[in-house]
Amino acid sequence: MSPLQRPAVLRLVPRPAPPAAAAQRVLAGGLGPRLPGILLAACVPLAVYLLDLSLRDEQGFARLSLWFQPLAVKALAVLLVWAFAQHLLMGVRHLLRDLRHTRVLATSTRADWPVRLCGVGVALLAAGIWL
Amino acid sequence: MRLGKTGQPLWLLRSTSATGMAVFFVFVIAAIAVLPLRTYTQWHEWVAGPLVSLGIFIFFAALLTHVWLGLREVALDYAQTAGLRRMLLGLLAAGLLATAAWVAWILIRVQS
Repeated sequence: MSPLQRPAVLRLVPRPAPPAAAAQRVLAGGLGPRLPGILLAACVPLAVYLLDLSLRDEQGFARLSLWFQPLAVKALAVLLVWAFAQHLLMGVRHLLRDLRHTRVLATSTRADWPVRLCGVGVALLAAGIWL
Repeated sequence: MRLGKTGQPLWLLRSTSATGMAVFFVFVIAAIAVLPLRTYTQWHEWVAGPLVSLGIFIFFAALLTHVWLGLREVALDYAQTAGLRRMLLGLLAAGLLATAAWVAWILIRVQS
């Protein structure tokens, strides 16, 4: 079966479920764990634009510095740092688990929590520096 | 219609691109911390260096490959019909190729 024809069993909007089951499903499956990566991917054109602007001329470089002054932009940058940290740490965790062949579905969700907390910790650190 | 390889080659490509990006990211953070890159001239000269330009090019090649692999999975998992998947993947490929061309143009302009 080609990738294009493989069965689509995942739903963007899950069916109604009891609150605990719904929360578990949001955290363990569905689109939830992929959101940081999707957010980062959506920001790639913005990153290229910022690189372009910073290298265009001196005015562009100066304008870029000014853009990062407002609090809202700094808050957005902290959000992106969180997404980046979350994505990177989860990626490292998945890689290590794959290399050790210790991927166990039943325990994976529980063991995700320290990684999530580390991601939040990195974002708080960035917030402490910038805000 | 087959869209590239699946399974271990994709896992290897994703892991390699992620590792390469992480290494370059550490290099950039270290450079910003150590080198004086506070003015346009300093920043421009640093990026225009052949090794840094090559590093940026390889970084974006890895990044766009990584984005393709990740969003391809999302499209294949969540788009319900083959037609929709084909359209989303086509748009994604076009967007990533345009971004690659944009990065190449920036790096060529910096060299001149």
